[in-house]
Amino acid sequence: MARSLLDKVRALQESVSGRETSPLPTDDRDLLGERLDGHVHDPSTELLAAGFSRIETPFGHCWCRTTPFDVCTRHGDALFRDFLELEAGGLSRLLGSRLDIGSVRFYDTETNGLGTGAGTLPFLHSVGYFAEDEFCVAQYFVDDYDAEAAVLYAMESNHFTDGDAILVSYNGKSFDWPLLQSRRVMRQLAKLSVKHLDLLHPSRRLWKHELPSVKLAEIERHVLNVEREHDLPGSEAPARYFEYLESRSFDVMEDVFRHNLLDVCSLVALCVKISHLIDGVAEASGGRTHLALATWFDAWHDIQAAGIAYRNAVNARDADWRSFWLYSLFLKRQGALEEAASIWTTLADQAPGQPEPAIELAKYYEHHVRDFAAALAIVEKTLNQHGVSPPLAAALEYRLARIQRKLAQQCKGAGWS
Amino acid sequence: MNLDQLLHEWKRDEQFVEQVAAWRVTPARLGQYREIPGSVHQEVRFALEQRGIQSLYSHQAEAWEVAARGQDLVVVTPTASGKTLCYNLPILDQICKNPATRALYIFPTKALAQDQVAELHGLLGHVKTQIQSFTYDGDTPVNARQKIREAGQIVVTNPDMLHSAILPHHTKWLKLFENLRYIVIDETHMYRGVFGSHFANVIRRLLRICEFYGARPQFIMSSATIANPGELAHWLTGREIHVIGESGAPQGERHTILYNPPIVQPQLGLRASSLQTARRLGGRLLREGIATIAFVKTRTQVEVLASYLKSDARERQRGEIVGYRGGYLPHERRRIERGLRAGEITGVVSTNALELGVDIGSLDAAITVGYPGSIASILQQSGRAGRRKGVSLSLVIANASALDQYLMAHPEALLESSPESARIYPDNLLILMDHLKCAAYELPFAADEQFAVETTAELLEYLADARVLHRGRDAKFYWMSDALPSQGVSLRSASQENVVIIDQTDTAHPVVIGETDRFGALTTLHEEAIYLHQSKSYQVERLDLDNGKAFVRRVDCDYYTDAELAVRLQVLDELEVVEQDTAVHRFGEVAVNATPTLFKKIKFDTHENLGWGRIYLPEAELHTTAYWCSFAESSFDFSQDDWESALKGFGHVLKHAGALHCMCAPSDLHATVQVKDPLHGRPSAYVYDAYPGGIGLAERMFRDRDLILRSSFDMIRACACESGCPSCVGPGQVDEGLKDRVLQLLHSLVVDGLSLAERGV
Repeated sequence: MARSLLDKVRALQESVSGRETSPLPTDDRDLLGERLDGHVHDPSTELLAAGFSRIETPFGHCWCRTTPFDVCTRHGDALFRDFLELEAGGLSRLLGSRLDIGSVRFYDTETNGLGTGAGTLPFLHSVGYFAEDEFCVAQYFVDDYDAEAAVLYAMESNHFTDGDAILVSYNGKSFDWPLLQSRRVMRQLAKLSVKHLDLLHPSRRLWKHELPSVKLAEIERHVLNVEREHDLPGSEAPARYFEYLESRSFDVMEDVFRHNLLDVCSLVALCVKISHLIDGVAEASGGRTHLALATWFDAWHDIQAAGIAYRNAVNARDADWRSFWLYSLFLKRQGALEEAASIWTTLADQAPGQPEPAIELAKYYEHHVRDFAAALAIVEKTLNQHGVSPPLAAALEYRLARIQRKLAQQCKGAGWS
Repeated sequence: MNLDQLLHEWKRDEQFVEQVAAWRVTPARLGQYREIPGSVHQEVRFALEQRGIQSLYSHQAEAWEVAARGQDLVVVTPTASGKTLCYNLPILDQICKNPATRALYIFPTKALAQDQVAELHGLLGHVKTQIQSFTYDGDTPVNARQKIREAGQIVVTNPDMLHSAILPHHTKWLKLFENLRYIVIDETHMYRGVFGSHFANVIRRLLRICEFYGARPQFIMSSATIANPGELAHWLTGREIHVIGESGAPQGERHTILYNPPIVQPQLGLRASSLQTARRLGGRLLREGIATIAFVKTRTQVEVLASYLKSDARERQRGEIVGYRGGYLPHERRRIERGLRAGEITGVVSTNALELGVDIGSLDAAITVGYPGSIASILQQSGRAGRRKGVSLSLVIANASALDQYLMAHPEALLESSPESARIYPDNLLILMDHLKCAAYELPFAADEQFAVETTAELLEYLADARVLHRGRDAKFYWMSDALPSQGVSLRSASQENVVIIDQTDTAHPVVIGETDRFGALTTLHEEAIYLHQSKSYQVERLDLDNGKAFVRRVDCDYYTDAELAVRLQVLDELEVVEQDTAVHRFGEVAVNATPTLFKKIKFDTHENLGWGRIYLPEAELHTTAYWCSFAESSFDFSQDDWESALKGFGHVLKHAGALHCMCAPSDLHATVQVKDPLHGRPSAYVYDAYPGGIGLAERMFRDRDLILRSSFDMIRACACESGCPSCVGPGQVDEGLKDRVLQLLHSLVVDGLSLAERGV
């Protein structure tokens, strides 16, 4: 009657979860056995045949497959060559320091799960770089968990030794890069330091309002004109990897590698696109995209370019309240108060639910034109609008009282003169 | 009238004194002081002086010396004896000497952490060296987390956060782990039973990670009074821990009164209800403006007593009386705790939730309604009164149970015996497996690595077969599933998911008002159940067990509900057997299937039965460990019906005596009977752990069955009733010979027929 430890565990887990846990379906186990007994295949031979090369490191060996593209290869609307011909200006400004095209490493991973906890393993690290007249993508494969230290070592020594590498990623700031650093800690290797340009943030600013989401796949489809055929959804990558660990048959991984390769290629095309927009080579598609550019130029103190972009934004067919509002504030900073005031007047009339322009207008009349009566009328009108929040109402009351005081003084002054 | 005067009045009141089983006065005690050691860093010494601390209590000085020797230690002294300084002093000193030093403070709950941080910051404010101390819990803003990981020299957290946020992300805490020199575990006595078993495993994981980073932190722990602080600390940490048990703090005069409610029905020996007595005496204390806390056993009783006290109070005082129990949401609890500290709340009724050291300021009187299951709990509860100098009162009101009555007849058992031991069972298979997964997620397992048990390799193989782990070419076990294992594991229970209670009185704005565990939901949240929350009644409209939700609506009604479970038990494995003349004792593993069957509607105030209804819920299965006793049918001249009731009575008293002995709540143990057990066809009574996998209670009962059976025998024999009553043989139909039959069963097991006292034990 004595139960084995494993019977106990199984029964206990079933009683708690309320469902049966069958650890390994028997037919699967047979299949596995058969494969191992009948068709003996050597994973190394297979990886070599699939184009991988073996890299020796102090932590053992690992596998890497490098895919070179002629720089004249097209990916969506862009050629890889376009990247080499970029004036690095726009990208440098996004990065916040000078961007040397030769130091750029495009980086992307595939992982065995979401999250950046210690148990999440990136099983594929890809590094894209330009060499001579080729764009190369080196795909480092952690073909079993024990190969990870070798992969991390090889990747560092091949691509990140000079210390001034510039990492380009998509959502890498919060996912891929911290994960890589975490893996290095796990393997007791020093953390890497790079400059990091995460294209997610500029993309979000440029296209958030136009696209249903700013996932890389959406950007590819709508912005880069990249078509993917028979693409494996990224979410299926973990299952494929687990399958590979069981079967050791690289076939199941090819789709994952191809998917990942295209992701890295799209990083290049996206850099080209964003850079062209900043440098004015490409035309922005909508008001919000112009506005995003304008606010960048504004922040970079490129007044002339900002002015042009703001005007483009407000002249766009889909120009919205925010574009006019930000433009008016830009004009105010530039001292073009009359022009700003005319925008405020329009906004206050057309969007009475937004009190900010009316307040600006009141300030303009009170402090600049010194037309207190006009200022008073605006403040009163704003106060009477529906839905004014209590703190705003209090601020308005305060302003109102001050203007009334000034008005009274002015009248008195007028009386004396 | 102040408490001192009221106590004098009671002392002169004959009716009151007649019901007093014992009245003990502990005189005020002077403090034992030591000089602040010369080796304390001058900045810390300065900070102490600024806080008005000129000297240390003797236990604080001893903690300093032991810590300085690098020894792990636990300080066991009463509430408000300056325990926190025992760890703050050596740690602040060390940080001043070496700012790279890191310390991790672990408090059982978030609330407790907040309190202690406030005190710590009071001290830090006077230290010139910049010492960064941060609380890292569920409320910590995401943007502050990065800084805490890098710069926090003292990181304050709770077991849940450690388990689900820090350990799984240990690589982000590189700085902390590489420099971790101290681990503070406050309120160590809280870590017992299931929670303690989980926590011991969290500590195993923590130490495993420390080892990875080359750190060997020192433990500084504190605990309320229990019999085995050193042992518990050892079970939790795996280290030998030095115990400091002598408090040097002063204490005011303290009165302990054991009060047995008067007999109202002499034939049946029925006494006035303990709850009504608490209402009467508690009401009096509150009317005199004496800050009072009352502890009751169940959540329902919290609501019932709180509403009694409220309705008896003067209009303006009603807002100052509240209930407080598990199942309230955190912000509601915080509000009550603040109210208590500020003196805005003068009366509180609680389950043992407040036993933990949440600083609620000083109360004058603590009422314990019904023996809470352990001496240590009584000490904790009475410790709630009398934190400041002056007179304080601990009033224990007995209920009708045989156990309570036994204690009233033997007050020395309560007043003189040492507190019980706290037990944990960290190797509970289910709990261990959960943490083994978490540990594998955190760091791969080497093939020969042991995680506390010798069977580690077997368990890892099992997980690899289940494709949760992957056995790499290097023979290490790696985490493979794409889920985060800690998410599925709640430290507060062994069965995982909880049911949240949603109030949809306002259909447009449903509000979550509480939560409960799944097993509890079967009997408290079935459809039509009345759920009580802050003295308000809610009716359950729908229980969605699949999604863990119960939908309730406010109702106005004068009754509450009480549900019954039908239980089917099946033995899975007999692990040990001991034969006696008339009986066989066994210990082993069982599967219990429980189905809630029907519920009764019980009227407030009179407690009369107003009717009943059926419950339609699927059965729940529990795999656990049991102790059972099978009798030789022929040795007793009982009919079938006689057997059934006798076994039930036997099971009832055994469960209560077992709970007394194992220092657990009676609800941690369940009892059931079989007139013919399916394997041997013999009359059997079972007592089993109420948690999946068992937490060691039944095993202990099996080992200590002699003692437990003897106290069971005493309890029944000493009961004042004639032929058995709900307090000794439990609820149910009582016939003339029942008590005698139960006594016969017990007598046959207690070999010489003598009680404990008679044998001089």
